[in-house]
Amino acid sequence: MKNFLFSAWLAATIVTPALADEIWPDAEWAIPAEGSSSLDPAALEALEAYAFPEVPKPGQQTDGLVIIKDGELVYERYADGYTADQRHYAWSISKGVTNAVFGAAQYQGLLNIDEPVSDYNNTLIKGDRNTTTFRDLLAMSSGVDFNEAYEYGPFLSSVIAMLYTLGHDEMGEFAADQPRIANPGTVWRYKSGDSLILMRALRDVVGEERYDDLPWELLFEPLGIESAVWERDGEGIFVGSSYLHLTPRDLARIGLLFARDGVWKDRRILPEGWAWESTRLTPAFINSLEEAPDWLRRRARYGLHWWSNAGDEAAGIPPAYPDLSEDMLIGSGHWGQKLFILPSADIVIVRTADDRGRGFDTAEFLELALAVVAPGGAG
Amino acid sequence: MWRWLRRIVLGLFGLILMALLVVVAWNWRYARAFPDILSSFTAKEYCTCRYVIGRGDEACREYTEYFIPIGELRFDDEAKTVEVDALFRTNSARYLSERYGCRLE
Repeated sequence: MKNFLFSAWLAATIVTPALADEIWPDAEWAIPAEGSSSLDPAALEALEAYAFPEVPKPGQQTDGLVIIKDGELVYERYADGYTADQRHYAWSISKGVTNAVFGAAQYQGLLNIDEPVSDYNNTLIKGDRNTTTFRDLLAMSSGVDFNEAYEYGPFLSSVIAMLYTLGHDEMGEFAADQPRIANPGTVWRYKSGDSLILMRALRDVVGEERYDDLPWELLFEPLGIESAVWERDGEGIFVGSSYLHLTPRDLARIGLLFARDGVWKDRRILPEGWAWESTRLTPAFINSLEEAPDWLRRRARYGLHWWSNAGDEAAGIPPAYPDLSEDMLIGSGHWGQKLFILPSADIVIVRTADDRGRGFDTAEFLELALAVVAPGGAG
Repeated sequence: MWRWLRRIVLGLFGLILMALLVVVAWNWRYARAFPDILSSFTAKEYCTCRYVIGRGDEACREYTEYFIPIGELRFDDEAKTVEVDALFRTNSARYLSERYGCRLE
């Protein structure tokens, strides 16, 4: 019932009438006309005290903060050493952009994410695992054994071995050749290996020549993203898990694409409903969450290469942030990179960072940031 | 008295060594690549920091700092290469192009 009401409200208030006068960025982001800014000054002060404190917080460093509301850049600030024109590391927010590349490829009919990867002219995934679909990989449920620890476990970490040592020449093959712990589609484990298997498989879908510029053809050029650098492995495979670098303003364009259900101006880029579908919990995730530790049960929700705020009533899983809408997409990267997308409120928030300790609190940050742009609540 | 103490210390040391060997053998899948991690990581991420993000030497050294210190780091702004010595290994990274950024060699 709640879902029905929500959809009805969405249809009535946003989708239909807004299309004609929606604001989009051109070469630059639109900025509210002088004097028309509706930011709450007290709320802004509180947000800045959190993100850019005069006395640095130990282990916490915000490098940049960009807020988009209704297609306009309403707030932007950078720490010393960074500017609006400077790229920043997206780290694992790259995974959400990998999702977008697959969404665009699906919309153009280049592939079907529900088909096995092995249907597309490759022997990447061998043996009886070769039924693994693109969706299994997007849902982090390939069943491959892959240890995602970073600097705390260099002896054990698969991701470090993949990026920097044993796997760096052929990351997709390295990931696909790891031992199996479960059948495809049954167990959720967050792992960069699945992103690399996806990106490696994508080359066989489109061929080597087209692959080389594919994210630009499908995504960056239509969106006017000019700063993107996507680093690759020794074979030229995009490191879809980690190595996208672009300006916070350009990352916000990816956010706006998802906020507006995969449409950019008058052109559809992602299939209709792809953004919403990317937030939904998968059976593998629901199974795995049951055995997860408490902190993970409380805050972690995962769809297709995006963190989210999805609940699942049948499984007894509430949204992670009950005050916020369930269509929120969250990109989260190493050392504190964050991309928050709230489609029903038409808000995108980019936070670039260099957090070397814990302490950044998503719930607290979102409350402060949303108080600035959506004082009535972004629910 | 001292002889006993020496035996105990040696015994403990032996046990620790054996435990360590067991851990390394158990994790041999990645442990064999361990000595390369520090120089590879530093070379790749320093290269990206300097030639993709566009930050200076001090900021990039700080960005790639790990709790184990590295040996020497050499960069060549003309060729856009970075070479790092650490843990008795040397690894290097190269900036390839605008869309490719940096890659380990």
